[in-house]
Amino acid sequence: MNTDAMITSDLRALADATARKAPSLADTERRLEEALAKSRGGARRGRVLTVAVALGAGALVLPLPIWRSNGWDATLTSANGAVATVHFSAPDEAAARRHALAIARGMGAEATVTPHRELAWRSVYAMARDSLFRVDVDTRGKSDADVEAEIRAQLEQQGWNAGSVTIRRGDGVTVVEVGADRDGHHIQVFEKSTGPDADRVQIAPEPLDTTREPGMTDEQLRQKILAQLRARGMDGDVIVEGDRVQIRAEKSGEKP
Amino acid sequence: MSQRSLQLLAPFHDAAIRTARRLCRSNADGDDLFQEAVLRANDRLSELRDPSSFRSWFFAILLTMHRRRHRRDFWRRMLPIESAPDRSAPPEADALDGAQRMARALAVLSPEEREAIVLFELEGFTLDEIAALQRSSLPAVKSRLSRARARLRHHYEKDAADLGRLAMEKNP
Repeated sequence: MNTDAMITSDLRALADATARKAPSLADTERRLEEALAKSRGGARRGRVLTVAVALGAGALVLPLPIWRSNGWDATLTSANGAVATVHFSAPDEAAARRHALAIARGMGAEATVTPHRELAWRSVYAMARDSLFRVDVDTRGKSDADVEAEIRAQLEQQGWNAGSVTIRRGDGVTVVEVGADRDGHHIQVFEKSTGPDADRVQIAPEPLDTTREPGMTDEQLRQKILAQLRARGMDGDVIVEGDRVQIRAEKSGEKP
Repeated sequence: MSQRSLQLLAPFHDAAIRTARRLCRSNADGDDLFQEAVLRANDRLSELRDPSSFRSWFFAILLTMHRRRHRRDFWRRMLPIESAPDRSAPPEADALDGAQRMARALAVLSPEEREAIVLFELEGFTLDEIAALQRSSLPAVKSRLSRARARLRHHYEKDAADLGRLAMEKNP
C-alpha cells in the first residue's frame, strides 16, 4: 500500500475508533453536573492561583504546579502488543534514542522516546525562571561546532526544540544567538560575552519585569507583563490599577 | 448544566465528541477535552447572541480548549497503556492499528495543522468554515492543510523506513 493510501485508510480507521462507545447526551449531562459540583466545592482552593504583588516587589512565592522535563521515557511495544515504559537519563534526544533502541532490540520490540515530564510545585518566580531555557557552556578548547552541539543538547534536555544557533568568536568577544521553540512559543536570545567571560556561554533567565516606564499607562504596563508571560509559555491574567499589579500566571497541570 | 445549553448542544453532541477524540491521542483524553469545552460553553452561554450559530461558536471553543491543552504539554504525555492495540479482538485489530498509527502521526503536527486535517478530512467542514473557526484567512488554511499533509506523509515514510531497518536488524 502506498503512503497516501495508507494515510486515507488510517484516517478512516481513526474515524471508526473514535466513534465507538462515545458518551451519550445523558452521560455528558451527568458528568458535567458532577464536574460543576466539584468546581463549586473547589472554588476557594482555585483562588490560590491569584497572586497579588506590589510594583517592584518581585517576590512571588505561592506554589503553583508546573510540568518540567526530567530525563526520558521509552515506550516499548512488543510484537504481541504488550506495552512497557522505561524511564532513564540521557544527555540528549539522540543518546536517548540509541539507549531505547538498544533496550528494544534485546526484547524484539519497537521503541518511541519522549521527554519525561513531571508535575512539580514551584513558586511563580521560580516558574518564570524555569520557563526560560538556560545554557551554560565552557567554550575553551572547543570548536564552534562543538559549542553549538552542546547548546543544542542542553536545550533539548530542558524540553526545547533548538532552532537557529550561531556562534561568532574573536578579539576576546563571543557572540551567541539562540532560537528555540516549545509549545508553540519561540524565544530568541542574543548573548554577547567579553573579557574573562568570553570563554563561557551563559544564557540566564530573567524574572518578570513589572517596572513602569515614564509615561506608561496601566494598559501599556499590563501588555508589557502579558508579553513576558507569553514569552515564557505561560497563560495569565494581569490587572494593573495604579501601583497595584495583580498577576495570575499558570503554566500547566491541575489546580491545587 | 443549564437545560438551554443541553438543548443547543444536542444536535451536535455526538459529532463534537468525535471531533474532540480525533484531536487527542486517546478517546479518554478526547472525552475530557469535550467536557472542558462544554463547561466553558455553559459558563459563557450568555455571550452567544444568535443561538443558530451555536455549532460554530461551540466548535471555536473546542479548538481554543484544544490549543490550551497543547500549551500544557498535553501532547508530550505518553500514549496511555489502555489505548494500546488490543490483539485479542481480531476483527478490529487492523483498524485499531491504523487508528493508533494515525493518532501518533497527528501528534507530530502543530495544533492548528491537526485541527485543519481533522476538520477537513474527517468532519467535512469546508475551507471557509475552518478559516472562520481558526480565525485565519482562506489561503492560510489551504497552506496549513497542504503543510499538514506533507508532514503526515513524511512521518509515515520515516516510520516505514524505521520499521524496515528494525526488521533488517532482527533478521539480517
